[in-house]
Amino acid sequence: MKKKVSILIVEDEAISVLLLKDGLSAEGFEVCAIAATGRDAIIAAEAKRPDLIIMDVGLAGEMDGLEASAMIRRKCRAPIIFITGYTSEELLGRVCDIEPLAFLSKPVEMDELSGIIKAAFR
Amino acid sequence: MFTRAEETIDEKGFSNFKKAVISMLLGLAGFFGAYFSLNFSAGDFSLSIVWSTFIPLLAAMAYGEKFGLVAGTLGLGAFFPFFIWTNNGWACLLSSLGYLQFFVWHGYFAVRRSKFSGPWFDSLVIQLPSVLFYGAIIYLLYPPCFLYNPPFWAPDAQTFMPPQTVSSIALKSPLIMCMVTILSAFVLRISEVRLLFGLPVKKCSRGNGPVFMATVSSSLASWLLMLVFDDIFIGKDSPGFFPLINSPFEIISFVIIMSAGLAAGYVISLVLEKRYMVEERLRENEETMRTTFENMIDGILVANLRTSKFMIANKSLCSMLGYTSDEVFSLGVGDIHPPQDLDYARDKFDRQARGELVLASDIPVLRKDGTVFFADINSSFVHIKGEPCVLGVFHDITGRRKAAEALKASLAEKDVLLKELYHRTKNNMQVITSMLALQAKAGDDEKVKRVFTDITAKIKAMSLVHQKLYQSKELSSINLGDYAGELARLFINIYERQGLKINLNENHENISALIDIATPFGLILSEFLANSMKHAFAGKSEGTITVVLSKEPQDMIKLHYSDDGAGLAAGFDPREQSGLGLKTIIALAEHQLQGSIEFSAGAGFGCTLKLAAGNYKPRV
Repeated sequence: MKKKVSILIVEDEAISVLLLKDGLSAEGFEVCAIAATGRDAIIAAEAKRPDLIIMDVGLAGEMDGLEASAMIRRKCRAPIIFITGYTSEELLGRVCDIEPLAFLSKPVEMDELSGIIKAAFR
Repeated sequence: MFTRAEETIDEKGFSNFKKAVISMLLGLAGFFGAYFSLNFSAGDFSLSIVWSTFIPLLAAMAYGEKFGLVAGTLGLGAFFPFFIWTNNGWACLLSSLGYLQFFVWHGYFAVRRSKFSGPWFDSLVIQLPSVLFYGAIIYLLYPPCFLYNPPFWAPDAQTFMPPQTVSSIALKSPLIMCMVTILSAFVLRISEVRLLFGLPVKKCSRGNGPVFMATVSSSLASWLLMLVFDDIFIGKDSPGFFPLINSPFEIISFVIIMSAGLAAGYVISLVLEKRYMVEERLRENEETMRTTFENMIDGILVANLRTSKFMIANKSLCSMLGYTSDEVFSLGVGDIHPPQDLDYARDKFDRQARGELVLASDIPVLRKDGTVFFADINSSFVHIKGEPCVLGVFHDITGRRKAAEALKASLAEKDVLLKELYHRTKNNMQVITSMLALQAKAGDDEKVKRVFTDITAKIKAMSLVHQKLYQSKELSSINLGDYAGELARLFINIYERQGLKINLNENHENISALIDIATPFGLILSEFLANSMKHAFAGKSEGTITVVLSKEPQDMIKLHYSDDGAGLAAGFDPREQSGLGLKTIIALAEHQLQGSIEFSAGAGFGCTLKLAAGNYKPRV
């Protein structure tokens, strides 16, 4: 049996987390962990070694999603999909520096997200 | 050519080869110049001032002992005795060696001036030993030299010199050497001579030439005057070469008067140089201070406290006020501040005087054209020319005030925009709820209507947050207690049914919360309220809902919610068996708000929520 793609969701809005978790599970993916802050995301990435990380850019706390991703990249090579409600040239520049798998604006369409993940892990 | 008193030109000077050539030429000039010696005689007494001791000495004192040696040997400067005193035989060799040591000795010290050298050092350490040594060797060694005469180059050389003659030479020669040394040293201080020798020339030594000429002239004049008065009052002793020179005293006095005059002139030149350097330094300092003063961007104004008039003002101050400097000096403190602000300004200045205030800030200042600008004024109290004065430094803050006003306007504009945004968001939510309400009314399915009601209630909970933000002063946070109370009343209103009376117990502390906290909090509370209204009071005519909000340590907020309704079913685990509503509450409380939620057992429904208020920072 083909192993399910394990996904770490990093998002501080609980309702968005519930939606993503339900949607990804329905698409056949496994949500191995969720985190609300950058610090929790780094710990979860190290512990769970996910196949993919879905990272919200704007997180509560001292570290935003981009800073957390840079830290995670030092120890974990899992591809990252960024999601955000903000769009600015400066943010896009910072995102490109990390070379994500994809960059999606909120509200995220589950079909689009699922399609990207399936294409990456074919 | 010169910019500073001590600045020198041509520090590099001549090459050693050029110096050697000049030294040789001076030596030769000294050798042949012996023929043109200045000879004085009076009876049996005679004295020769031989330029041969002076000219090579110039080379030695200009370039050092090595070039003195060159002038004396290769330039034959030290060997003039063989030229003019041939009859002395071997004594010429002694004299030559003596002159050679004279050149080398003075040349050595002349180029190694230390900070301790000066007229006393020069006289006692350098001059005196050298000339006394020469005098001693003449006195002691001349007689033996004559015994060995005649040498092969002078077959007619005398074999005897009377002791008085030896003594006379031993005394006269050091005297002449002293005069010649002072003359050389002085001549080498003249700028034009130094340029000829390729020596460094200082701006402050430009006056040495005239001082030298004055010294020589006055010394000669003094000596000649002495001769005249000597002949008039004392009378002629014996005829001599010069009609006025009648005695050995008059000849010796020439050397003494010239030496003394030259020494005095030398010292005067040193003093004048020093004074010139001091004056130059003072002038430079004054120029530096004046340039700084005039070019300061801030205005400087000095007022005489006794006369209350201004006495010093820089260009910036005059430019600030729009007056010329002459006009400023006719003004006083009362003329440069608007009349209505004069008391305010004076009060600040008085406080500065008492030491209560360092800076008098935002002082209105009146220009000549009647316009007003604002300045920060720093004052200090000084004495100038014995008068008590106050020194004020005016810093024009017009730019800063404009920037502050622009910032204030920008902030006000931002507040307006933010309010407008909150208002529009609330309105848009209103539109959504209205559309949902219309849709609910249009449909027949009661289940769908209930779902629309639930969604509408949640949207109203979030809309209420924006309304509170719109009404708040900070525009970034709301009073969470007021919001909780108003939300409870709203939900009681939405879910009311006929025959049911709901009592609301509320107790709130004054807690401020950002939108990031208030919105999920509102969704949690709205879920509790909806559940209570829909399920807790079935079959009852009255019920009580309690909402208590309080602050907890470490920036935590505690919400205690309870109702006296039916409560949770026995054995019901909210974490395992709950529907979407409770799952949402738990996710919002624990995941989003990084808090904790506990359901209490007992009559009715009870829940305690603790959430962290410090995880979010204001964004506006």
